[in-house]
Amino acid sequence: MINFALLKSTAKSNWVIFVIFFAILLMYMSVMLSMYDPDNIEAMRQMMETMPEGIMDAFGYGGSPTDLITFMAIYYYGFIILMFPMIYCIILANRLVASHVDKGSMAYLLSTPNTRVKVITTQAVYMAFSVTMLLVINTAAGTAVSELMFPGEMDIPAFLLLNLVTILLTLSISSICFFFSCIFNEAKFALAFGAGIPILFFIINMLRNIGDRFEWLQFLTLYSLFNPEDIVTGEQEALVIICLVFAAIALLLYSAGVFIFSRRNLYL
Amino acid sequence: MDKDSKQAKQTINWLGGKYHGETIQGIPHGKGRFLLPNGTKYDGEWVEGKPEGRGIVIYPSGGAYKGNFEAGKKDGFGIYRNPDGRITRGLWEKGDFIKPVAGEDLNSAEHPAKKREEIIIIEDLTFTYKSGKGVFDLDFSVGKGEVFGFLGPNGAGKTTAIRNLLGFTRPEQGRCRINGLDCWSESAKIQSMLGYLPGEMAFFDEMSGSQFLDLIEQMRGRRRNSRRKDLIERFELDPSGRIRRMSKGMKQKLGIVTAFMHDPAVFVLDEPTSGLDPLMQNTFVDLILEEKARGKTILMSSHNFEETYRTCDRAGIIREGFLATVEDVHSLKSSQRKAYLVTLGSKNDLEKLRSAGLETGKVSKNTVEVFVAGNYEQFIAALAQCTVLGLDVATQSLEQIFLKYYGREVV
Repeated sequence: MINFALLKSTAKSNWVIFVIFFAILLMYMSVMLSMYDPDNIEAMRQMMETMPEGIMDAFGYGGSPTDLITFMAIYYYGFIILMFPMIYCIILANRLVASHVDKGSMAYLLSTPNTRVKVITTQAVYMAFSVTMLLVINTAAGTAVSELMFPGEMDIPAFLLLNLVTILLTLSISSICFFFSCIFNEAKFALAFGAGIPILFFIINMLRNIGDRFEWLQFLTLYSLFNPEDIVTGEQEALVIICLVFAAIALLLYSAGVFIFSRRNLYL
Repeated sequence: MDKDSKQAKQTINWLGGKYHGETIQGIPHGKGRFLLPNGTKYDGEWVEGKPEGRGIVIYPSGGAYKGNFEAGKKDGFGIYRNPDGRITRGLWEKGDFIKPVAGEDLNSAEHPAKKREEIIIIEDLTFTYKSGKGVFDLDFSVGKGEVFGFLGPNGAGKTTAIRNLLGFTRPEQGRCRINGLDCWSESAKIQSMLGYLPGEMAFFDEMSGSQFLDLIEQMRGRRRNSRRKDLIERFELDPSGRIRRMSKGMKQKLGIVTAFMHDPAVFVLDEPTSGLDPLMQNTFVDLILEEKARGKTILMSSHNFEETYRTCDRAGIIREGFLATVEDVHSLKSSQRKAYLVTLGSKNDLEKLRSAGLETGKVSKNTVEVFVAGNYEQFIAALAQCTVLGLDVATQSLEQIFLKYYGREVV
């Protein structure tokens, strides 16, 4: 199904980006954790309230944390965990397929006895795997740092559940980027859609957080299915279905990308 | 054509038949279809009410013509298919067939393609881009152990045909085969016996040359062999540096090593010598001749006739997507029209040259351009009558060399 030589080479030329994004995620995770003060949650909330309300809402910081897990759910999983992995997906998807087609280097990959399906599935596997690993390692690091700083305070099962949903969400976002990277001949179109749609989802999500006026926008973004505070407090309805929706989108768009790529004309 | 006055597609009665297509002031102009009551159909381009440009006509008899039209008549390059399947390919004028330019009788049982083992086969291949450019009805084959030159100026359709051979694009019509395998549906299988050199050097910039060669070798499922080392030494390639920092020539050499290192049986090389210095071009020519001696089948595109002449057995000349001719390179050589720049002693000498019946071109001061196509004796005899101060070979484009295939409108 996949070509391991290509997988190795792809990993080799993209690991630096992986490390950079992991470093960013970990840095914010540590910063957020260090801001948590278990003895004085109320004071912290007041501090947050000194910020302009609309902006805080847009960033998803409108909730009221009661403990470490809800604090992280609001301040880390409401914004940072959406934005940076999304940017990672956009960059990676473009590098894995569209830029090879645009530059013409895909011609070399396809002039080896590997079918298009095999070549492109290899890229898809790397994409999905690296996105998953980015968040898995980040989860492990987050658990470790929080245990180190606040032993016993973190609700680890809830934290793991939250991260599982985050991974599925990010995989569905990555599938959008990958799909558009596969279907265009020019990198600029691939980027316009592959980056445009996730960014639009993200901006719409910020708008909808601001208030009831924009509540209807929830139907225009995938991110509205992801409510970290509700997930950790167990208030999220139909969580299993939401997870299945994310997984289904990912599976569908990754497969569609591979399928379309294997059958279309490539002007290499 | 004025865009504003062009009307949307419409159906009108025209010349006793029905026309559907673009019109201008009620007259067919642009693209359209035409049907006569007797069953004759035309689909193609129109100018002021008459078929002009590229089109297809199908006769009630079952015969069909695809090619160029002018003022409603077959004119220019075209292919006529008789109801019985015979094909006439060549140059037409005012509706009449003037001469075959294929240089061979395609219908003859003696046709060399029918005797030898064909490795690369392009059958009636048509592939059009949105711009209307492309390749049309390409039909030729390359036999085992043969080196075939694919000649044409930039933009004539060489790379388009090669894309179809590599399975990057799907033919709109017709098909390509290599070693009996279909180039679109079985392209991965073909790659294990094919060496391909892309026309554009696009590599994995961040890798070193060696890393790139390793990757391709591993993706081919092959172990490193001595051939790779030999080729690197032969072309004086330094594969240790990053590809991003390599010169154009170095990248081309890397491409050549990539195409040849797995010792395939068939080669498809798109402008292989571009970027190589003359010395390396010679090295490349030697390599091609060696591979030919080892029985390899090679198709290489070029816009340089001299290079094709040095390496190839036969060559196909492509013009605006149509195959103008397929000929033995030696007979092409004899029809080659060479330009010489002759510097003469006096104006009188110029008159002498002209009266000797030689075709002359531009004159600047005492230097005159003289075109020679095989008639060297006449040329030398005429020169002997004059005071010659200098004699140079003018560099020419492919269109100038093969004026007869490129027609009168190209200078």
